[in-house]
Amino acid sequence: MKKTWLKRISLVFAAITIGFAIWLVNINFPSYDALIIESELGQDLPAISKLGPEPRVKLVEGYQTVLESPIYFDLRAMPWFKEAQVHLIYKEEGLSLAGVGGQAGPGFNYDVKTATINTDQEDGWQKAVFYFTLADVYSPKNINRFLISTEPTSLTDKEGELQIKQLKVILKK
Amino acid sequence: MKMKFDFLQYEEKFWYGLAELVFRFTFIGFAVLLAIDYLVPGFVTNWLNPIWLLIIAIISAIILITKK
Repeated sequence: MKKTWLKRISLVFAAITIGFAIWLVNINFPSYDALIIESELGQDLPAISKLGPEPRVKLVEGYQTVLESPIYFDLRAMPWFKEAQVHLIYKEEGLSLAGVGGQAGPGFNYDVKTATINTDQEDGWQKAVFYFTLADVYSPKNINRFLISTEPTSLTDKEGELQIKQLKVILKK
Repeated sequence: MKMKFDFLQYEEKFWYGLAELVFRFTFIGFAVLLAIDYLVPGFVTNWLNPIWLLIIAIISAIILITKK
């Protein structure tokens, strides 16, 4: 009687293990060839870090406010993903988005690009999309570092900020 | 009275067997996930923290040691 129940539980555990293995493989090798990683602003996630360093950014009413440039975030992408699309929804409040760059080598070595697609959204928000080839981005232990660069909207604006509402990365094979 | 004693003994053996089962699955699972994540950093730890499996394995190991 005891052994029968233990055998049944053992079968349940084996089924859970197989299900878990299938889920893990499916999430890392998505069947639709694209993996969406969305940042939770102000929070470190295992796949994508929060924007930093801290004195240059602050979290105001759920939006990430950039006070000074450059700021960075880390993305942990699997080596079989060849392309990364960085999607940013932002609002310029004295600072404008100059570009996003992937770290090209050790140290301060970034290849900053301007947005490939830039569209206006409601209430002054804008959406910018940047394309990166991950083979060109330096990635020790699968960690890719990206830089977000800003510049003053006008020469007279000494103090300004850039608000970020959403940071999303789409990885493609 | 004897029947009650047998029942308790049966219960104890069942929980011991279950703890053994849980230990095997969680410890082997943890070791496999650790090895995979060492080879491909982020494959496992991007989605979950396998340390929970180790914690469950340690708890079941303590049960196994104390009930032996």
